[in-house]
Amino acid sequence: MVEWIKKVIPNVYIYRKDFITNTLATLEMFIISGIIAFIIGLFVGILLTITKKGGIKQNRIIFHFLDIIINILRSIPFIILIIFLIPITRKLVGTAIGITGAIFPLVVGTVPFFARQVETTLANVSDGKLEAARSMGCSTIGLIFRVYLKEAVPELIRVTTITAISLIGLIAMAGAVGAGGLGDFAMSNGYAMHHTDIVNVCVIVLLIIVCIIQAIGSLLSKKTVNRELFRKKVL
Amino acid sequence: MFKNKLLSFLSKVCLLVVIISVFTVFTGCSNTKTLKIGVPNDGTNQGRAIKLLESAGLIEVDPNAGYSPELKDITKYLYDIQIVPTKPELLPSLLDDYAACIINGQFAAANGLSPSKDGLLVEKQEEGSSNPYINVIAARTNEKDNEIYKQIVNAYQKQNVAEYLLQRYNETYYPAFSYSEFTNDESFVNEITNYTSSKENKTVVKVGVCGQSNEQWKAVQKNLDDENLNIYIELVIFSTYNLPNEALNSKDIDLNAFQHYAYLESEVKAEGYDIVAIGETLIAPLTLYSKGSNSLEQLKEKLTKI
Repeated sequence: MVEWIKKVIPNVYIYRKDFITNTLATLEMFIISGIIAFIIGLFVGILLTITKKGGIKQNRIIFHFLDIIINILRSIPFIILIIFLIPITRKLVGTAIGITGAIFPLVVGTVPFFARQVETTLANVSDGKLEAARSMGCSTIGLIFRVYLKEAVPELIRVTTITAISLIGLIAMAGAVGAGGLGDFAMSNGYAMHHTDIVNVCVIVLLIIVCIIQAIGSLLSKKTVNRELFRKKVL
Repeated sequence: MFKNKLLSFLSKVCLLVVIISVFTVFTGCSNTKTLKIGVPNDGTNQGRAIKLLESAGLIEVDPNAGYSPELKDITKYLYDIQIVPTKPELLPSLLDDYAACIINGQFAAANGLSPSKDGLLVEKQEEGSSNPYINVIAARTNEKDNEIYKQIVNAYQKQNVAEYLLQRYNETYYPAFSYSEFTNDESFVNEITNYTSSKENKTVVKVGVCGQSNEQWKAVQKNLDDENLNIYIELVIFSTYNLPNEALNSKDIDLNAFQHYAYLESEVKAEGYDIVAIGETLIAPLTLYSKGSNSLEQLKEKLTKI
């Protein structure tokens, strides 16, 4: 087996330690920044939904403020965003390099995208359901947790999957600040050094990661569709 | 029923993930004793940076690796350091975070760093044909005796190009051809920088370069125009070092001028390009910088010896 690896992918074998470190770095950045971005993004998305015109807690100031911030952050190319955020990152976490320094820019790059996706998803929850819940005495918090989030679970899982996969793409760019990761490893140790095998193996590993995320997302969203509701409708 | 099971399963997974991530963050913090040194992440500069760290006495490199060593060719770390390849243009703004950085002249100059004032160690590059880090103009092998290309090389290796390089790109670029003494003159630099030429009725030669610091070609164009050679140089600007050689080999451009002998040699060997150097242009040394250390000795005191 080892002989075979040495023959087919010699450079990956030479850099095997770095390869494993960088694979773990990609997963670490993905998990940490993914969790933080999920929580903040969900919160901002809900805030957008309830404060917009005709929402359950209409508030023009908050809505327009968030709207503009999201548009600004989404229009900045990610590599420029990293550079802009270097001083802020340094103040927040003490360093602007490595995995620690990459997580903050990754969160800032993901949250606006995810918040917009959440907003779109929650907009699809029908007003009739909200009206019904409210007439039964549901509070604002109740409306958010019992109606909006509950009804939109399959869709939320689907948009989370989309955001997660785009986050994998962003991580490759975050390697620019010395955070490592598979994308950066493929670039600086593979492509720049003419080690085509390293590039290929990195792409295959990333492909596997993306496939796993997509499969989990599809499965969960299929399982969480409110089947009882559908059955009642048919009867 | 299924939903409840699924939710409890999901919450368990989330909890596990949080625990793992907290664990990794904490273990990551305890490893911060190893100081990081930032080097450019592109093929042409990474090898040079490793060579520079060797001459600084921080690492030992396998002598068989030649002029373009890789990370794998480092045989021994003399100090407890980690070499981190980073995007070269970001290195000046990350000086606060790395223990030290090796920075290309043009990016250092753009951020107000000067090799003689701020640098701890400047790459030694003497003039002479034995230096593998002299930048060259490259052409396809079957066209290396082309008369037009020879005229361009001649127009490059002139006194005014040398003067322009030394004044406009102070301490970043040094001419790799002979020139005589001169006195600094700002109006001369402005005259060249604002020089424009039209390509009407001229032979257009496409020259591939990397980055924006290539204004010296305006001086070359001026020399060509002064001699009425009817040659127009059209600069094609690339952002990565791998592309200009591929473009030259596949006839998208006619010449390129961005690389040194060592990189040209490694590209030809790895990719089988049929290209060759036809003239020497300039020398662009790398410099080791560090915030908080004024000399190499001071930097070494901060590092742990192995």
